[in-house]
Amino acid sequence: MKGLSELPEAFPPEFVAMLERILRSGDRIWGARVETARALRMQIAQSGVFTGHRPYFPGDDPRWIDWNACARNGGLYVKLLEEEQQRGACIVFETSPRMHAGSPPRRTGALRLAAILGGLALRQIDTLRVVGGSSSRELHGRSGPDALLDALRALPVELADPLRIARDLSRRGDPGRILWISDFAEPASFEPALRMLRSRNHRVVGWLPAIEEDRRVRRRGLSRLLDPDDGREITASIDDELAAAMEEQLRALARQQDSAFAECGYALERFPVPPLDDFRISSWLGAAWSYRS
Amino acid sequence: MELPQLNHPERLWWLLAIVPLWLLARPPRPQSAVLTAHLSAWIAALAAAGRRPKRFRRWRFVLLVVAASCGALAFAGAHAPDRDGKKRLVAVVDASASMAARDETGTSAYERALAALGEVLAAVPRQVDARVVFVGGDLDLRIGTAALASPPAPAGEPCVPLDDVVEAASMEDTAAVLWTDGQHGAPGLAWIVGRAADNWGITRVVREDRWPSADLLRVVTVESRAARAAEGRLAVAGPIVPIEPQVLRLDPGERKEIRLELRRAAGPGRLSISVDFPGDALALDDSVEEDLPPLPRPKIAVLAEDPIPRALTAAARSLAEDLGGSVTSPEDADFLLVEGGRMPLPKSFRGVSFGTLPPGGAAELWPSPEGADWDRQAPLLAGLDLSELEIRAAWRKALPAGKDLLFAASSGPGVLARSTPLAVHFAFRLADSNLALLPAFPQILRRALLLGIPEPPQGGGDLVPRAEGDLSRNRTGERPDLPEFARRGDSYGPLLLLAALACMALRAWIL
Repeated sequence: MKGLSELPEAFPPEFVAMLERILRSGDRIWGARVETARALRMQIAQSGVFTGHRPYFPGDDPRWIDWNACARNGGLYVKLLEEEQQRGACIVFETSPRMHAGSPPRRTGALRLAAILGGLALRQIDTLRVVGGSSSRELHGRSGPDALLDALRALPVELADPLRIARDLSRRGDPGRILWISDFAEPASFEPALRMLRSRNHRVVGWLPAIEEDRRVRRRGLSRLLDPDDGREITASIDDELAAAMEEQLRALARQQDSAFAECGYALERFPVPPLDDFRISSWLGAAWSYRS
Repeated sequence: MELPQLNHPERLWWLLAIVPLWLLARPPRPQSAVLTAHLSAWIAALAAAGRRPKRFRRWRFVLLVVAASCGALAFAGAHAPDRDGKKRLVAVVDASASMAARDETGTSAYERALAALGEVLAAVPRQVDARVVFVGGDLDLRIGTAALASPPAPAGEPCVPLDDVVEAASMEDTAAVLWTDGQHGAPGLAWIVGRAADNWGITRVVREDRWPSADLLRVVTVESRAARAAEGRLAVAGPIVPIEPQVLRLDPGERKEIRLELRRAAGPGRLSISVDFPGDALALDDSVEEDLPPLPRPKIAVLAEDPIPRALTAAARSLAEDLGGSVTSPEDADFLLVEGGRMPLPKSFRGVSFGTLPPGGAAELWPSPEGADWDRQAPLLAGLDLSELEIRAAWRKALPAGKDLLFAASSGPGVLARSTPLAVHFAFRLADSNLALLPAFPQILRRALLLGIPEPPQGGGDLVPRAEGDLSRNRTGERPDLPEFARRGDSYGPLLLLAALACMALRAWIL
């Protein structure tokens, strides 16, 4: 791809050591305990044991509307069935060249995030699928992190259509919770995929590895800006006025991203990517978020 | 269609300026690119800030190139193709006296020539080097249309033959055109503007001036260059005693001499002798003028002890009459005749003294000086005979310093007469000599009176050369076919500059 440079090593020994510490401490992580409990939580599935109701959300399959509950309570409710199949999860990784943007490059931080999420998931679930572009690889539970890291390293750099990925996931049956790691730079291109997943009752959590360039424009002066996805570039002289206008655009983009997920009832987690040389567990694990499976 | 020409083709090198213009027109481009996932947001931010991404705008550059090219071509002097032809015009104008001859409308040949020349100069392209040579008594070279602003008056005869001037001016890229009345021929390319006509005029004047006497003589020759007999008048005017105009009758080709005995008035003035014949085409030779200086008009007085010598009184009267002066009292006189007595004789004294002694007793009696001789070269005595001068008594040491005129060797050398710048002093009285009886006496007095008065110059106004008065050979010719003059093609400079400005204006409109 045009303009792409070599990325820093995503999983240096320091990171691997940190990852192993995270996975070993497992239960001591607040998020992990919560996830362990939640692993058994009811979810909407196409089959299983009835376990309760939850409010109807636009996009839900109307076949699961419990009309009796609606008549009783006056609102729309859908049935919850406990999954009896093997628990699994899926990490969908954005492989677009634009993930190389940022300082540090977003892709490096996203890979590390995927490694942590995938590692924690593997401790709790049976299978983990790692999907990125045309690549798809299945890992089994209790696998060590090496296989996961290998799968993540093998992810290509290519453009991928979110709707196609969503269809592929759906065709494979229930992929479990989908952890979609991307910059969601074009929310409009994700909305059809999210709606489709919502209509199939899939669980999706969006993970946005946030970098400084998502919020602020520090650069000043004459700059040549290149979109690595399509090779478009512009030259602009960035001053305070233009920077302010761009930050306003970024805020609007953030609102669009939040809106796209909210309309489908999905959560979008913004994870601030620590510096590349920061391997402290506290930098990578925060009390405000948790790993849901 | 002919291609435009360039005055300075070497200046087309400035077109190479397009290369640096292209380099300058390119927007600055940083070496390295910054990857961004939000290029669309950047484009939207630029639009929100009212800006556009910096990029090479092709049409603006094209317009810039066109404007620069137009400017380079204008700088190189692009113009329509030149037309070949003569690059220089030398107009030779006959400015001799005959060109002043007027026709029945009152227009002179010279005026017709200048009018025709003006038309030609106005029609000649600006880049043609036009020069006008007036050939009359003098040679006068003028440049361009300014030549007609104050042309010289026709006078005299051509100082240089007209054909020589025309021949000298005729060169490969030069058109030499002659404007003449045809009297001296019409060599080369000539525009003949003359008319054959009758002329009567003064062709010769002989002058005899008897200054300081009031009499003067003029012998005037009047000649007819007409084809018919005519009767005219000759008149004299000026500071003279008026005389009646004379009637002259001249046959064709006849020449007459008229003798004019004139008596001058006392004051100065301009003497004019003129002839007037009906139908005379050339007025230049109809009169001759000259300035007459004033007569001396002395105020003469006689100063002597009683009885005043009659010879002295008569001499004073005769002198005054001859020179237009008067005899007056000594207080009003500017010329004294002094006989005897004793008085100072300073250098400012003007007159003649006879035996006048200076104050004091330095003079010594000089009885019967003999063997008187005189300075024959002195202007006062030149041509005079004093050989019969007899002196009975004279004085030594009585004369003021001056130039010795008359001296005697007997009884010891001595001076009998001296002249100073304004006076003559004799060492003897008139009564003691026979000087008053000599024919030289009045001449001595006259010459003494003219001491210190410069003789006025003789001469008068120039006459028209005789040949110029003959207008019979004058003629009128057709307007000649003038050669083609080189004409520079119209400059495209203004158009090119306008185009360049339009391109730059359009370029500003294309953001």
